[in-house]
Amino acid sequence: MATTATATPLRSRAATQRGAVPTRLFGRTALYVLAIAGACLFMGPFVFTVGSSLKTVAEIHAFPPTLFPAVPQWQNYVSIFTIPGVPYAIFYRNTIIIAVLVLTGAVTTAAASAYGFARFRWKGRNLFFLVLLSTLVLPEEIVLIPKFLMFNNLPRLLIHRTLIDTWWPLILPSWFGGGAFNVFLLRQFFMQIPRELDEAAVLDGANSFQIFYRILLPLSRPALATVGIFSFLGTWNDFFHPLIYLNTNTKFPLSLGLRYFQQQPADATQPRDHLLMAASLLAIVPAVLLFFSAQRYFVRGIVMSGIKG
Amino acid sequence: MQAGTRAQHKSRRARAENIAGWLWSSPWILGFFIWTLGPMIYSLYLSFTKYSISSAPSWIGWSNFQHALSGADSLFWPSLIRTFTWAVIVVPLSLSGSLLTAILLNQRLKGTPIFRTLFFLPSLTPSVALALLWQWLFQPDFGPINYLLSKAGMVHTPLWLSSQYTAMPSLMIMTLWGAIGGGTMIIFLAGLQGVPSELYEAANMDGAGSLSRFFHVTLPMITPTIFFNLVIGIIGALRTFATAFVATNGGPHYATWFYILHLYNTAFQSFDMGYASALAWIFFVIVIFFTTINVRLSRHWVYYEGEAR
Amino acid sequence: MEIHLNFRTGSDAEWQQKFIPQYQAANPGVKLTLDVLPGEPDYWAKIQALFATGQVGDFIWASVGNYKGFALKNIFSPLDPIIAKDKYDMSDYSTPGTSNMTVNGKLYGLPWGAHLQSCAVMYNQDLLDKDGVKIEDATKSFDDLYAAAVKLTKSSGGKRTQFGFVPSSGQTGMLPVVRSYGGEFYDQAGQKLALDSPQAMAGISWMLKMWKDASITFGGGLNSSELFANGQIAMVHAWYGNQFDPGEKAINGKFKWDIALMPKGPANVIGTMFTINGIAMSSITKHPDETWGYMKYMMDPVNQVQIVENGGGRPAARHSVLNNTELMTKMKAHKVFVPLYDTAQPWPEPGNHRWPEFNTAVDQVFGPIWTGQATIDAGMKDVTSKLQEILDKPTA
Repeated sequence: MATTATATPLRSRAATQRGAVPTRLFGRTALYVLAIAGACLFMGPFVFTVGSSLKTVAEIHAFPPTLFPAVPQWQNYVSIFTIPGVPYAIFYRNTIIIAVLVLTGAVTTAAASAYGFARFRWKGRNLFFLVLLSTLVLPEEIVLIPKFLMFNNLPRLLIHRTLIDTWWPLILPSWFGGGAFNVFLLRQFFMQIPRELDEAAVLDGANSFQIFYRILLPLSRPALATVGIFSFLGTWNDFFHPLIYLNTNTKFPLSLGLRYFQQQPADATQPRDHLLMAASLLAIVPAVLLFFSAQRYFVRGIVMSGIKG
Repeated sequence: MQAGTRAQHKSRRARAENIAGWLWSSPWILGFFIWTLGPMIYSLYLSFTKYSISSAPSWIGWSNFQHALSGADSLFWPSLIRTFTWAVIVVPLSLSGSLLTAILLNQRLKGTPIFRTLFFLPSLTPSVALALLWQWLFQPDFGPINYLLSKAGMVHTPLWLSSQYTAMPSLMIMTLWGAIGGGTMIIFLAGLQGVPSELYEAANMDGAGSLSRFFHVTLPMITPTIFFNLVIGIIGALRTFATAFVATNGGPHYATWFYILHLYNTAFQSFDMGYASALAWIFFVIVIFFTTINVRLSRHWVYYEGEAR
Repeated sequence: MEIHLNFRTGSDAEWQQKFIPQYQAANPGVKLTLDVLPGEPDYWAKIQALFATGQVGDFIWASVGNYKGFALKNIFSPLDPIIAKDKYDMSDYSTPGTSNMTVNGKLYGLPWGAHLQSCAVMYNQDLLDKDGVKIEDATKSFDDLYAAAVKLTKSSGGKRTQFGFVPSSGQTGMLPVVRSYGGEFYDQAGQKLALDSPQAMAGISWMLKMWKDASITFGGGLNSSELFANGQIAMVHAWYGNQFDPGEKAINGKFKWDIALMPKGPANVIGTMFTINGIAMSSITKHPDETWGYMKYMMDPVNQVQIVENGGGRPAARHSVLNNTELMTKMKAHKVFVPLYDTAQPWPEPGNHRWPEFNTAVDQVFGPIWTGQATIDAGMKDVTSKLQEILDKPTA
C-alpha cells in the first residue's frame, strides 16, 4: 500500500486539478452514454419480444420485419391459455407450486444447517465444512443418473410406486440443506453476527432454538432473502431436472411447457409462433417482480456474506 | 469439588453442544450422504456396467471408458473439445463484460437502480425462453438482425443458428446477453463496494489517475471476487446444456453438440445408462482437475485482505 | 375401473378429448384417462422410460417410428390371442396395413392411421396462375417440377420474398424422392447404408437443387406450413396431413389452394414411405379386455370417418375407410392419395431398431449440404460415415 503521499510533484497535482472540471464532465457524459447504450443492448431483444407478442400470425412472418404490430393483438395473451393440448395455466401453476416448495425447503434447512456449522462445536465439523466447500464445485451431472434411478427403483421397492413423473425428485433434495451454496452463504453470514447476542439470550434462559429463531434469523434477512431469491429463480428457470423426471404434460412447469410453442407437432391444428412471444414474456414476469422488490436485499446479502472474498 | 463438577459440567455441555451441532447440521449432512455421496458411488459402479434400464446391469469392466477415450464413440472427443473451446472463449468474455458493467454501475450515476434492473433482466429469462427468443432474432430469412444487417449494406447475411460455422458464435452471443448483467455482475458489484475508500483516497493523494487507480487499487482488491467468479464460471460453461438443446438441439451438423448434451442423449434417448455414467465420471475428473489447477494458481494472483504478505 | 391412454401431443390427443366422454357414456364403469406425452422423437424415449418405471399406459399410440424395437422388447402385447377370442373380423384391413404391424409373425398393433409421407405437392393456385404455371405440367416430371419452382421463386433486394418449392427434410422427406429415382436409404436388412448408389444420389441432387434455388434456408427454424398460409410459398412438399395444417383454417380464404401428387420419378414410380400411426396394448396392462374395447372403438369405420374428416388422424388401413364415399367426396385431398395406399412402399427399419436416432441424425448430417456449406461430395462422405456408425450400433 502506498504511503508516500508527500513527494507528489506539484505539477501533476495542479494538472489533475486544472483539467478536472472539463474532463469530469466529459467523463460523466461518456458514462451515461455507455449506460444507456448498454441498456439498449440488453433491452433491445425484449422490446422486439414485446412487439412480436402483440402481432398477428401474418405480421410475425412479414418481410421486412416490423418492430410493432399495426394493431396490437392483446387477445394473444388470452389465447395462450386456450390452446387445446397445451395447458399454459397449468404449467404456470405447477411452476409456482414447485418453486415455492423448493424455496421453503431451501431457506429453512439451509438456515438450520448453517446454524449448526456457525454456532456449535461438534466432532467432524471442520471436516464436513471442507466437504461442503468441495461440493460447491461438484458438477451435478455426476449424480444425475443415479438420482434418477434412485427415484425410480427405491420407491418401487418400498411403496410399489415409482417417483418418476412426480414432483418429488424436484422438491425433496432442497429440503436437505438446499444445496451447499446456500448453507455456505448463511454460515458466513451467521458468523458475522456477534456471539454476545447469543450469550445474552442464554442468560435470559433461551435454548438453542430460541436463539436461532429470535436472534439470528431476524438479523439475517438480507441473506435469507438472497437464498430465497436464488432458490426461487433457480427452480423457476430449471429445465434439466423437469426434462428428465417428468413425462406427462399436466405435470410440466413452464420451462418444459414453453417448448410446446416451439415444437411443431406433426398434426398441429393451429400455428403458434405468434403466441410464443406472449407465452415467454408472461413466464418472466414473476422473476422480474421478485427481483424488483428484493433488489436491495440481494446486493446487501451478497456483500455481507463475504462471498466476494 | 468445584473443579470436578465444573469439569463435569463442561464435558456435559460439550457433549450437549456436540449433539446439538449434529442435529442442527443434520439436514445438510443427511443430504450429502443421500443425494451426493451415495449417488456418486452408485454411478461409479454403473460406469463399469452395461445397463439399459429395462434389464439388470451387467459388469463389463473398463469397456465404457475404452469406448469413449478411443474415439469409438465418434462424438466423444469432438464434443469435449467443443465444450472446452466454448469455455475458453465465453468465460473471459463473460467475466470482463460483467466486471465492466459492474464498474459502470458503481459510478453512482443517477438512476442506477433502474439501470441495474434493466441490465439484470436478461439473466432472469428462463433458458428456454431465451433460446426461443434468439431463434427468432437470428432467423436468416425473416429475422430482424439480418434485416438490419442487410439494410446496413451486408449482402450475404450470416446464417446464424442454421450454419455449422456460425452456430457456436450465435450461441455465444445469446449466452453472453443473458449472463453479463446477471448474478456475476452483482457479485462483482458487491466486491467493488467492498473496497475501502481510504485506499482510493490515498491513491488520489498520490496523484493517481483513474486508470492507474483501477489497476493498482481496484483490481488487486477484487481478485478474490474474480477468483470466485472464475471458478464458478468455468464449471458453468463446461456444463452448457439448455440453450443448445432448445435452440439447435446440438446441430447443425453437431456444431453445438456439447458434452453434457451428449451425456443427456446417451442416458435419456439411447438409454445407455452404464456408458452415460462413464461419461459423467470422465467429466467429473476433468472438472476437479481444472478446479484444482485454478485453486493452486490462485495463490499467485489472488490478494486476500489481512493476509501477511 | 380406469384405463390410461398414452398419446403424443397434437391433434391425435385433442381428438381423444371428444371420444372419451362418448365412450364412457356408452360403457359405464370404464374411466379413460388421457396422458399426453411430448411429440416425437421425445415420445419414444418417454414411453421407454414409463415402461421401465412401470407407468406406461394400457393403450399406447404406437407409430412405426420405434414400433418394431418396442415389439421385440415386449413393451407391446401381441393381439392375436385376443382377436381370436373376440372373433374380431380382420378381412377389411389392407394387407400392407397389417403386415407393417406384424413382427416375427405376431400382430402387435392395429393400423389406426396410415399415410405415405411426403408424396404430394400442396400449391397456391393464385400464385401459379399469376405466372401461368399449370400444376399438371409441373408434376409431369421431376425436371418439370424444378423448372416450375424456379419460375415461381421471386427475390427483391437480394432477399427471396417468394419461394417456389420447399422440400421436406429428414428421412421421411427424403426417402420418397430417393425412391422415385429408384434408390434406397439402406438395404433390406437395415444394416448397410445405400445412399451412395447413383439412383439415390440423383434424388439427393434434385433435392439440393430445390433447396438452393427455390426454397427457404434449411434449418432456419421457419414453419413452412405457416409461410404457405401466409401466401409466401408457391409449392410445398406435402403429405396427407397438410390439408389440415395449414388447412383452410389458417389460409382463411386468402387464396385458392389444392394438393396434387408428386410426379413419377425416373424409376417410374411415385415414391412413398408407408407410415402407420398404430395403436397398441401395453404388455403390463391389468385390463386387457377393456383396453381392447377402446382399440376396437378407435378402429370403427364410423368413428374413423369423423376423425379423418376433421383432421384428427389419418385414415385407418381399412378398405371401408379408405373407400368411404364421404371421405372421397367431402375432403379436400383424400381421394388423391387413395390409389397409392395399395402399392405403398414399406417402412424401412434400421436393423438395430434405432430409427429415431437415425432420423434425427439425417437432418444433422445433411444440413451442410442443403445450406450449401459443403459440396455434395464432401458432405456425402460425412453423411455416410455418421449414418453408417448409427446402423453399426448394437440393437437398442
